[in-house]
Order: sequence, then C-alpha cells, then structure tokens
Amino acid sequence: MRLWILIFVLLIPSMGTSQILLESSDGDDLALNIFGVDRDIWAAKVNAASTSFQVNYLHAWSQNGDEPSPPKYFQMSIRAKPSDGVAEFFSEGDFKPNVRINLGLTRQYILSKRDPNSKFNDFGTVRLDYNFNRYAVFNPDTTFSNQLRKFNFNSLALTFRYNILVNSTQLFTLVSGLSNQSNYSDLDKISVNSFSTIIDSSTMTTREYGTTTSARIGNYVERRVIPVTIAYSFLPSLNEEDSTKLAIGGTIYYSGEFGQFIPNHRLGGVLYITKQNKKSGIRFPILGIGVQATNLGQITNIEYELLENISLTLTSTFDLPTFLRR
Amino acid sequence: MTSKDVKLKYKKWGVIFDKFIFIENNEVRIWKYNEKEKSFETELDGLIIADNVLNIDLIVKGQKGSYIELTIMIDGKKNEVLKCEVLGPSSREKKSTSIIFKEGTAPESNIVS
Repeated sequence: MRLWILIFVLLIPSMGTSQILLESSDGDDLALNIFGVDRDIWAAKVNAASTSFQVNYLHAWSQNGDEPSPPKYFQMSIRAKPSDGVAEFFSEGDFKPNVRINLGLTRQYILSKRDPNSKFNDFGTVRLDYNFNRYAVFNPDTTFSNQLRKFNFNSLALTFRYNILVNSTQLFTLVSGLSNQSNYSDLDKISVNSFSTIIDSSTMTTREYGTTTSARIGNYVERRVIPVTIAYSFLPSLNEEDSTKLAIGGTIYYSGEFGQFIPNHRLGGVLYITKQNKKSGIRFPILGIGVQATNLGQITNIEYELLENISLTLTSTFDLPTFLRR
Repeated sequence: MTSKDVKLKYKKWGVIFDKFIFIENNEVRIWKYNEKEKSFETELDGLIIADNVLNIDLIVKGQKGSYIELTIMIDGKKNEVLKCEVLGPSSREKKSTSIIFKEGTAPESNIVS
C-alpha cells in the first residue's frame, strides 16, 4: 500500500504556492513557515508512514489595508487516517478512522518588536486540536464478552508554537502545551478471529464461520501529557537565478511527551527536495524523506531493538486547487 | 519644498517576513493588492517633498534570496526601480531621486514654496 502512496506522491504535478509544511513520521506538524502567503491558500499533504492525508487552509489578513503588514494568519487543517493503517482497512474492510481538526492563529513579533533595525524575528501560533479516534482493543485477561472492545476516544490539545528565524536561513521551533492522548499507537497490532461452529448431526459435518477484526493488544491507557517538540530547520535560499534548480532543505527534531509515566522520546530528521514556483518565488517540498527513532528512553534496556523503533517516511505538499484543476 | 502626486508599486519574490517602506521618513503601510499584476500599490497624493529630492528607504526581512522590487512613479518623470534582496536578518536599500524637472515642464500648481 505504501508503494502506491509513494507512486502517488511522485506523480503529483505540484506546482503550487504552498509553504514549507513539514511533518514527522507520525504526521505531526514540525515547522510551519507560512510567511509569503498574501492570499488564501489550500494545500494538501500526504504522509506515507502514517498513511495520512491532510488538507490545510491558510488565510492572511490585516487591519492596515489590503496587504497584511505585519500579517496575522488563520490556519485550519483536517487530517484523516485509518487508526490501524491502510492495509487493515483494505484487507479486512474494517475502517477505524482517526480524524484531527485543528485551528490556529499566528502572529509575528512575540518577543521581538517591529523595528526595521532589529535582527531578531520571531512568530508564534496558538493551536487547538480536536481528535476523533475509533479504536479496538483486545484484552484476553477479562471475561469473554468484554475481551474485544470497540470504542471512541475524543481528545483535545492546546499548544503554543514559538519560532525564531535566524539569519534568514535557519528556523528554530519550540512546541509545547497540554494534550489528552492514549497509548493506542504504542500497543501491538493483532488480528482477532471470532469463529462460530455449526455441527450437522445428520452428515456429521462441521462448518465454521466468523469475522476478523484488527485490534491492539496490551494495557490501554488514556492520559494527559505535556508534548514538547524542538526543531531546527535549514531553509533553502530563494535566489531567482536558481529558480529552475531543485534545492535541499532539512529539519532535525526531538519530540516527547511528559507526564506521570515514562516519557516517550523521539528523534528524527526530514530531508526535503524543494521546487521553486516561478511566479511567487516560494519553494515548497515536492518530496520529503524522513527517519524517526522512537522509545529512546528505553535504549539502555537490553531488549530494546533500535531497528524495530526506526520508521521511514515520505511526505509531499501540494497546492490543492492546482492539483484538482488538472 | 514641493508637493507631488507619487504612485508606488511593489512586487514580492519569495517569503517575506516583513517589509518597511519609508517615503520621506514616514512608513507607507496601506497598500492595495492588484490581482491582475500580482502587485501591491498605493497613491500618495500631494506628497510634500523637501529640497526637491524624494528619499526612499526600503527594508526587507525574510528568507534568503527573497526580494521586493519597488517602482516609484512620479508624474512627468520616468519610473524608477528600487530592489532589495534579503541577504541576512534584515536588508536595506536607499534611494534619493530628484524631482526637479526641465524648466517649464513642472506644473506650477505643484510648487508649495
């Protein structure tokens, strides 16, 4: 399935004006460099590792006239993916959606002042996320009728994202806040087969029929966490004379959740190839290749397998109206 | 001191974090977007210009390689262009343009003092 997503990503004729909208292997936004937007834009993202599809809407406005100066931005996005991946959806027809809707407000000059002589440029975003998840958890240690539990988990997250643009090519991002989460994605995937048996006494034939459900096994818990992400992005130059060339940018990041449990530490990086829009001059990532290591807090544990905790991903951002017009 | 109608137009290239356009030391902050030309425009009617020299100061912040190209249109004068490209945290370009016309071509109504 992921091969199809890769082919889809590579075939996208993405000649839009979308910005650098980078995300981790889990499909979480890392850095959002939205400056340069002077009209409403719709952008879409696909992420192969989390098999997610996301639509972003950005709106810039100002009270000082038609042109935002300094701009404020409203951002909205909807991300959808199957909770247990696309493979289970297609093999078993059992769709358990994971839908995230977020609203964000971005403004410049959080700690810095609007001063032509200042070399310190920062901006921040307040973001509210609503998550709807459909889960199935199998617990063999309880009564038979309660072993396979299907339920909804709805959660909210409020985060603040602070960014500093350094020397016009480097972007530092710090994200933190409060979030309700579950450990569903950390549990092991299983298939639960439920069979009934009919015995025909006249022919002595046994007939079995049943259903297969994808689920997770383990100790499922819901918890309030403090998410922390620290990211460093290298932004490619936008020189007009290099506008026909592809350019490489990158992001390295740490992310983790803290609370009354063993923190989950993740380290990752995304290397992305950008193409420049000949009209706007904005570069956007046509393909991002990411690697992420998870559960790094357990790396000293003898049973920790690094390769099992490393995931690779491919992401792409494209201008949705341009894509739909084709 | 002279009064002039001045039109300004600028186009952006790349990712502009913020820009400051000062005319005679006053920042111009209200611009109208021209969808057809993908540019931003403003008109400064009866701008008071000291010493017959219009001083323009353009500061641009953004992603490296981005730029703003500002076109200055003064009635009866050839358009002038000022381009400022982001090379560091903040890039600056200045221009002083004379508004003295050949004898007999400047409208007398523009002369303030």
